[in-house]
Amino acid sequence: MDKKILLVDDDYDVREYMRVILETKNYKTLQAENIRDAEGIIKNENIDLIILDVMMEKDSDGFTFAQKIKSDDKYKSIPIIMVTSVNEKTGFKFDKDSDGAFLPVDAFIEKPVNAEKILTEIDKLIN
Amino acid sequence: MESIKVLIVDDEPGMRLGTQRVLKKHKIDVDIESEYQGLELIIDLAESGEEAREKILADKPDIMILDHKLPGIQGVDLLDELKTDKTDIHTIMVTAYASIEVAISATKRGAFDFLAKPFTPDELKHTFNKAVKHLVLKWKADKLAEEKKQIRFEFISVLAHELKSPLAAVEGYLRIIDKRMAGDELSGYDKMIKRSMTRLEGMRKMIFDILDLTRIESGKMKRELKQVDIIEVLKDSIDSVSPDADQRGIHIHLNREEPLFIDGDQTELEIISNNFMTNGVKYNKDNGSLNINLKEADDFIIIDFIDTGIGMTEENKNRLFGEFVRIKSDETKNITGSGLGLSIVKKLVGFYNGSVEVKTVLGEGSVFSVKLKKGDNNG
Ligand SMILES: Nc1ncnc2c1ncn2[C@@H]1O[C@H](COP(=O)(O)OP(=O)(O)OP(=O)(O)O)[C@@H](O)[C@H]1O
Ligand SMILES: [Mg+2]
Repeated sequence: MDKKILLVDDDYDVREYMRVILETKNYKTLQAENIRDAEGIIKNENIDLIILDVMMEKDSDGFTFAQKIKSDDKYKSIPIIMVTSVNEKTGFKFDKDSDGAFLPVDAFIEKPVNAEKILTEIDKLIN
Repeated sequence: MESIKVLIVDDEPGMRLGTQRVLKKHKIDVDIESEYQGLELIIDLAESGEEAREKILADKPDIMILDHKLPGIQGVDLLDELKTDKTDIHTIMVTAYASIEVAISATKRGAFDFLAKPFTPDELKHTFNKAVKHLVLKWKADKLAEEKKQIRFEFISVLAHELKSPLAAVEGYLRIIDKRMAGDELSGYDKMIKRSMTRLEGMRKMIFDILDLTRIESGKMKRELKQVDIIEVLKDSIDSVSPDADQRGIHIHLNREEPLFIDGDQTELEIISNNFMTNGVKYNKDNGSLNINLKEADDFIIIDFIDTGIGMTEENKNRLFGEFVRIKSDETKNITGSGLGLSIVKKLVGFYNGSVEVKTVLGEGSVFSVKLKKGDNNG
């Protein structure tokens, strides 16, 4: 069965091009433009992986959402890839080893997203 | 900021204590805003320039009453030191005789004011009050500058985010097109190209809006006041939104034909009119209507833009005129805009002694009432 990936980003076009990238590997994508919708989808569907944008309506939305998922026994096994765009602004790169403790996600990907990179990352996490 | 730190520097114990006594009993009475009323004085004493220097390093006073003639390091020399360190202490120099030279050289070296010995308690109070007033004004200016910096910083961060989003979208699409990731069918790419163009158009509009906004704010926008027929302006706006309106079956009606003149700048009035007109169409429903009703009331013109569109909640209504504010909902998600239109309008309307009032019901429609003064709009 095809794996299901949830895309959370408030920008329609970002979700759209991510969907095209994911479909090249036959992943099924579900989309949410805000945290509320994302929570609904997680409840009703068996999601295999979440791709989450850090910067949404409020600066901390992505962070809070990741923390919530990872502290919920029902969902904490779902891998999360966090998409960030901090690097270009601050020169500060997120890293799983150093930031994993306060930011419980499984991988970080820089925006603009490189298709090969994200596909490799997904492959590592769910196959 | 509820206290003012004062340091009294004098080698004569009588002068030190006398000055302290006068200030302690003194109720600060300067004509300043309430948030600075009831300031408490914290008074400290020093016997020599050396001791004063130490105390200043440990805890900088706001006001210093400094004797000119001291045993070791002299008052003026201490001033010089402080000046190079750029410590902004309001210093009142106390000179032994009313020597104008000492006073001048002290003010040159950064003293705020001077007092000639012997001085009466009233003279002391008067000079001290002047220093306090000056100090408080400076605090206020600093606070304002700080707030302004903060607002500017926030504006730029939001702007950067707003400009980065379309870039990311277009870049994402281009990469897919570049690698032919959506298959061999060319038609599969059409939508991506269309979306990219839409996003770039939005970005261009945002840049122009920002230029307008900064020009208005900086006062650099040249105003050319003349008698402008507002009816013509409104009709031009209607013409420019007609293609979109027609396509969606939205009916636009203006309730007046005969000219109505206003002392104003053509471009400004066009910006105002265009913004309400495009909003009235963009946020309308298919086959809805937009009525523009003009009224005259005393020296003012009131233009009502009445639409049968999506409306909004009271809570959202109150945010509307903020920069980059766009209301997110299913109805608005496919409508492009930078969220700057109404903030620009608000600034411009201010030039006409005017205001904008909004009445709106979610799901039913909105009325934007713009009030503009007819004449004398050059202030
Ligand atoms: N007539 C209206 N009916 C319903 N909502 C409106 C109306 N006018 C404005 N709004 C809401 O207010 C928001 C701010 O309006 P504004 O004109 O400032 O920005 P915009 O239309 O989004 O972008 P811009 O005018 O800069 O292209 C809009 O995004 C929309 O959600
Ligand atoms: Mg607008």
